[in-house]
Amino acid sequence: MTEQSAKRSAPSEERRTDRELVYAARDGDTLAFDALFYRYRDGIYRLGLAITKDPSHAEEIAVDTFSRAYRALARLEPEGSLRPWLYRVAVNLSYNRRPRKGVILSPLEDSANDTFQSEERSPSVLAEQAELRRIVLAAVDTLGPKHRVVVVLHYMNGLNLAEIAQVVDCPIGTVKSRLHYALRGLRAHLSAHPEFGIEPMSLLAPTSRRMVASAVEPLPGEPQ
Amino acid sequence: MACRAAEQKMADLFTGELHVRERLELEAHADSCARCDAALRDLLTISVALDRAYAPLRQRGTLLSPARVRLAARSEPQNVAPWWRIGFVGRLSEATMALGFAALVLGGSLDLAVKPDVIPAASAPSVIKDYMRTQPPYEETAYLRWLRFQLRAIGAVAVPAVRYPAGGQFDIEQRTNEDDWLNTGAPR
Repeated sequence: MTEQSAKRSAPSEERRTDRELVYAARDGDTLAFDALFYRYRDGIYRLGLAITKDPSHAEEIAVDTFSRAYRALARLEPEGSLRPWLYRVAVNLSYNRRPRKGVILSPLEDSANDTFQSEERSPSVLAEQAELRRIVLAAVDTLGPKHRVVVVLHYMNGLNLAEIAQVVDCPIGTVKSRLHYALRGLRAHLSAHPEFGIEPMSLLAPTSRRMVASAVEPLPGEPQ
Repeated sequence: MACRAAEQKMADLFTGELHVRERLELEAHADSCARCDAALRDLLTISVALDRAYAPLRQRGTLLSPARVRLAARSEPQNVAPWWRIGFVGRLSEATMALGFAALVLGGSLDLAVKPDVIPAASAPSVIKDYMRTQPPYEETAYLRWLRFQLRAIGAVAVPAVRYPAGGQFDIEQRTNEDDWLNTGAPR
């Protein structure tokens, strides 16, 4: 059964919760496990890719993570989402996997994808953005594993503090502290690069005032 | 708002979990504090840079299929017991090892047997030593020495001088059967 046909043949699977899908898969419903797989496949692949920087390793991590879930179906009791458990397994597998020598995720590969996606940007702009990405990702690599996981889970996987706390199995305050210290470490590391020091806002973001103002919704009863 | 509290609020700002009123307080504090203003500006820059650095990665996916997961789950080695713990051979090997261990313990090779709690005192009389002390040795010279010590021990006044044998014979007169042919034991 192909991926498209699996998705088409089971439209109701997408509306079922993880808990229902786990119980159905435990009873032998293969479509339920497939729905779980397609629901979290890309997220786990990206998580492994962000940590290991190796696409083949990321695929192996995704397969290992779901094979563990497959074998642990009888013991799984997800209260809400299965994502924290899956992500925790993926993080552990990613850090236990030794990096292969000579294999790196090149940011130029991403810039090539951007070239096909947006024809408006010039090659020099894309190359500059690729260089900025390379510097930022290299700075993230200098962080410790605990801080790096929090950064990856938030900025790459888009998890909020509560979800990250479930994945790394620690209080929300600890996650907040790790994220804060990670950003401070990145600030110290990136301050050596003039691209981020003198006029970083013009390259990457509007001014802080406008950022904060745009993020602030008006209070109830406050004039617009 | 103090600078320390403002720093703690900055992480909440980047994760989008800062309340509206707290955001306004943070902004007001940054207006009055140059250090926090610079920190907020730099951390915002880094936050946006991280967001953009991971943006291409967020669009990547994989074409993995669940069939590969099932294949991997079934092909992974289970916890299989080694051959020496399977079936009759396993039982036999376990029983043999148990018997061997019991024999070693009982034989005292491993010094695991129970030792007596009471150890005989050094001053206690030894029956074996006393018996050996009273038994005269068989060798002639040793016998004469033993005899001499015995006489001293009982307080004999005159200990006969012992002359050691020369030429393989004692230099004392040996009685013969002709001297005491009646076997009366009487001196000549």
